[in-house]
Amino acid sequence: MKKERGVYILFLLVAILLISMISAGILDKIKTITGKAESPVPQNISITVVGVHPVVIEYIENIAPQQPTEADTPSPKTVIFEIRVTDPDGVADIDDSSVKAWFEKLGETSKPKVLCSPNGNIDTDTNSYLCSINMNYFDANEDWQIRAEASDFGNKTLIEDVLSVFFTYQELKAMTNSQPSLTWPNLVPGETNKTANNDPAIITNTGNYEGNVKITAYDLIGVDLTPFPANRFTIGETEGGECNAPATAKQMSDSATTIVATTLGGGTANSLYYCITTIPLVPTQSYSTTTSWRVVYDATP
Amino acid sequence: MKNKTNLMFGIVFAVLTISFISAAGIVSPYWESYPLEMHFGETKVAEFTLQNTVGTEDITVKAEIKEGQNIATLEKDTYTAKAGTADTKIPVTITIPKNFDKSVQQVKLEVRTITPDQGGMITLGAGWTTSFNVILSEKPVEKNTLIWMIFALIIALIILILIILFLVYKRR
Repeated sequence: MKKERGVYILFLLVAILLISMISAGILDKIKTITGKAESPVPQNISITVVGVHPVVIEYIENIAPQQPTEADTPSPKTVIFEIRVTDPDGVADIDDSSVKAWFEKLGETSKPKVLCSPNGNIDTDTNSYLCSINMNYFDANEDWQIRAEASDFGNKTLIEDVLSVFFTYQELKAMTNSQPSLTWPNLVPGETNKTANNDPAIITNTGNYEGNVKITAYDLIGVDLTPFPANRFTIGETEGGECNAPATAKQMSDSATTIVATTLGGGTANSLYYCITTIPLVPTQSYSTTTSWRVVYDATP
Repeated sequence: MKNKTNLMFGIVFAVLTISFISAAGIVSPYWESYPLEMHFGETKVAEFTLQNTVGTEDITVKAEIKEGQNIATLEKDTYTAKAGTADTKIPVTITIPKNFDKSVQQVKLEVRTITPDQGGMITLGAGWTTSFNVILSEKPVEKNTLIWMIFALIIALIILILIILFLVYKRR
């Protein structure tokens, strides 16, 4: 009796085994019988293995203080620096097209994100990238933060740096003066409100500093050394208002007089108009400056 | 009297100067809100940079320390920047004496163009003043010095204890 039961069990096991073989495609195999000779069919198999870990921006290069370039001439200041991105799943998982950098500063418009260029491997899970960002002459001085972001193929999370790396953009006090010399038509003593015939002198801020333009005037000296007093001159910012001190013009003297306050921005300019309010009774001759008037860009009001 | 009624006032060279544009700038490593930090007895060089990238003429400037002459000096007082350059250095050497009696000292540098004499008119020279604070502090004690100081104190303490023990023993 026991022997019969053993045979049944053995038979059952063999039957289960056969069923699994048939279901694994024996009928399919029969269907493929066409009578033709069988030939191998090549198959390309490609697989992509992606990682699960997010990237880490592990390094941003410390940049030395940078100098603005006056009026971006011949070009804006290009700041080049390195960043390194690590992915525990290996460098192949880092998405190069996602590695970007930018500069930001509180109260200022951030510099747009730029794509960084691959710069080789540091090791099996870290890539180096070079980033290049232009700074304009009118960008604010002091510290700018260097920011970076990157992503990968597997985790896909866009990761921003948490490194707090800053660089200093230095102060540039610069200006252009379109008219470094002034002339007047022939003058007669006693005449009033005679304006220069080659103004305005246009002062353009070509740096990243907002300050005051001050002018120090000196007496003109005649051929026979007769002085022509500096305090007969006035300067205004509007044409027609340059003779009307103190309402719309400033009277000159041999101490620095604030004329205008400049502002930042590409090509921000102020026009200056010059006037002699009263021609003094002086001898007929040419008068000129023996000491140049000083147009000074100063911090103090 | 005739002299005083027919004043001729210079217009002679106006045409010569119309196309000339005065342009230049100075870059400061330190400024009002970005001070230089130094220690007593220390010397540093602050390099200002004269730029002349916009102008078409070489410029010569005169530099002068207007404030802080007690700690700041210039190597020379005139510098020339060729047209198209941005790298003319104006080094200001700052030396803080060991016994300096201030904790903050302002340094003010004035730079102005030296305009060549063009005659018969008013000439306008450009200039810039830039000032910054030098903030002073004691030099921090170096780690090695600190270790030696602690070591010396321990030795002194041991010697003191030994002397006290010796005196107590002698009295008994």
